[in-house]
Amino acid sequence: MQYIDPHIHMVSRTTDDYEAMRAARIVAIIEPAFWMGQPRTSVGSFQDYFNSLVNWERFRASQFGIKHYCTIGLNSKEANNEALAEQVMNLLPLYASKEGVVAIGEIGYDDQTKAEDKYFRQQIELAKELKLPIMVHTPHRDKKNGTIKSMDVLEEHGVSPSMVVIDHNNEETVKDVLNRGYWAAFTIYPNTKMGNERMVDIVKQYGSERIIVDSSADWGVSDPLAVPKTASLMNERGVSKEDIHLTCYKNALDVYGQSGHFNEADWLKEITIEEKELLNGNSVLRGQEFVKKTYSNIIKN
Amino acid sequence: MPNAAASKTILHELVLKKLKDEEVQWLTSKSQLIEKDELGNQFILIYSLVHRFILNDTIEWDSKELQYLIEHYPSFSEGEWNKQSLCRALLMVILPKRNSIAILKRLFETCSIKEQVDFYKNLFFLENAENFSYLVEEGVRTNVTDVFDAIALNNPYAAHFLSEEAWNQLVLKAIFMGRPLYKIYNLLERNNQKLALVLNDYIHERWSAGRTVSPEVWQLMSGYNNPKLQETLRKAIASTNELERRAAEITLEGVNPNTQEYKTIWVDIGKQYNN
Repeated sequence: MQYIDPHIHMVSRTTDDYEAMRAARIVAIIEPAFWMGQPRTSVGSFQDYFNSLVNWERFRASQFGIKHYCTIGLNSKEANNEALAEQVMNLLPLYASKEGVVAIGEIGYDDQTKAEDKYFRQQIELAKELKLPIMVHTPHRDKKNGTIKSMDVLEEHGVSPSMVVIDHNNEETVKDVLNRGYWAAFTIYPNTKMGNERMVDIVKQYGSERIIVDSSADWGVSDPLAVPKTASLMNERGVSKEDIHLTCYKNALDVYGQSGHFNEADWLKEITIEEKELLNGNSVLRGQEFVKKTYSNIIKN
Repeated sequence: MPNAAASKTILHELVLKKLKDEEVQWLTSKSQLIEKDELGNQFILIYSLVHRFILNDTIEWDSKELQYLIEHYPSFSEGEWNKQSLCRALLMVILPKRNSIAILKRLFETCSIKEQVDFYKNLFFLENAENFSYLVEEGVRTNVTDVFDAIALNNPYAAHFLSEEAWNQLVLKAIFMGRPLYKIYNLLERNNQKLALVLNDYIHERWSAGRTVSPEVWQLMSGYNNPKLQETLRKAIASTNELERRAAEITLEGVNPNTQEYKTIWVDIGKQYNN
């Protein structure tokens, strides 16, 4: 079985992570634009960050046989610096139009301030104009209200729920999100969000329709193998193969595939790693083959 | 140096012929916007949007068309060109020259990998191509293989416009990245003793570390009456790697590096080694 992690911040991860992810059969990932753990102070920092999402990080991923896609957006935390936010908003259409950008995101609310609301709405309009799906970040604090408010605003703007992933759900939000027709993503992130045993129970209770598992692994204590580990746990605990396939691969493909830039054929055919770039050898590794790796203490010359 | 001004007409004629009606329509309407837009904001967005409106198909050329293109872009036939790349080329050549230096720099600053690849491949078509050598020098520092290849392989830009210092950096970087040297346009024509001496140090460094040297490197050591280089070549003949030994032997045989015969030998070695 192959996996997609549709929410992971690879700029903060190491090559060991990439290696382990590919060995665990993650074939495609989506890196949403987010904040860096501390606020940026100038628009140039955003530009360089967006450049790394469409450029350097894609190359890094390709070296490990993983297809890298991204979403572009102004995150809710940094929407609160309005002077800077205005300049970032001017940059967004250019990056959002690029190939391999599969959604506008992650956008939504953090503290649920007026400024956050303003830029959330502006970016919803941008997504509509570019016919892109939307990835919604729901807040840590006051989560339930923030989630409901996000969906209300999306409806106000006439966005079809089928074009929207509401992310970072939990047991308290999932019912509303599914009932209103949205895709519900769950972030398996130790301590602050949720562990994967809870995830297994959710799939057992709600099934696999429109449910998506992701890691949101970033610069914090998080796990880039959250998707394959959760898939294994589901398998151990009797969840069907079909449900695992849907929640850990196919649903993400369907919703972000609506962008026209997220196609299975991209990784099934195209991925070829020239290992010599990395290891100075000359073997060629095909992306669709499972690579069994053994680790030794010797670091190759 | 071919007449770059004519590139515009030729690209216009040949590329439009290969597009579907709706693609021609899109490109024509956008071209008009670009010609009017002084600040270049439209141009940068349209360059990016090519992927949405133009298919990524490879183009089939007949021999006459190909001949035209090679006249304006030596080694054109060796590279891989698709409709998107060539439409971006067309957008770049119709960009009014009066602002193009600033606008193309801004474009470059926000490019994705594919957009950068097309940017570098297309620079040679520009009437004021020589103004962008600093961006090519910057590009040579990249570690993204596709971008580096766009600059270094089957592209006449570097051979025409880079200084000796920048050219030498390009060749060295190609060697360090393990890229096929035989695809570098005018590799032998631009070779110089300074580079041969740097390579001499490089070879000794590789040997000390117990690493091999690409056989393609040896062609750059020939034609200089320098005792250091001769000594290294004589040592290389003792190599246990057959291709490396043969390469060193050929270099020592003293075939004139300016002949077609010499070139052909090294293209064959390059193909053998890289394929």
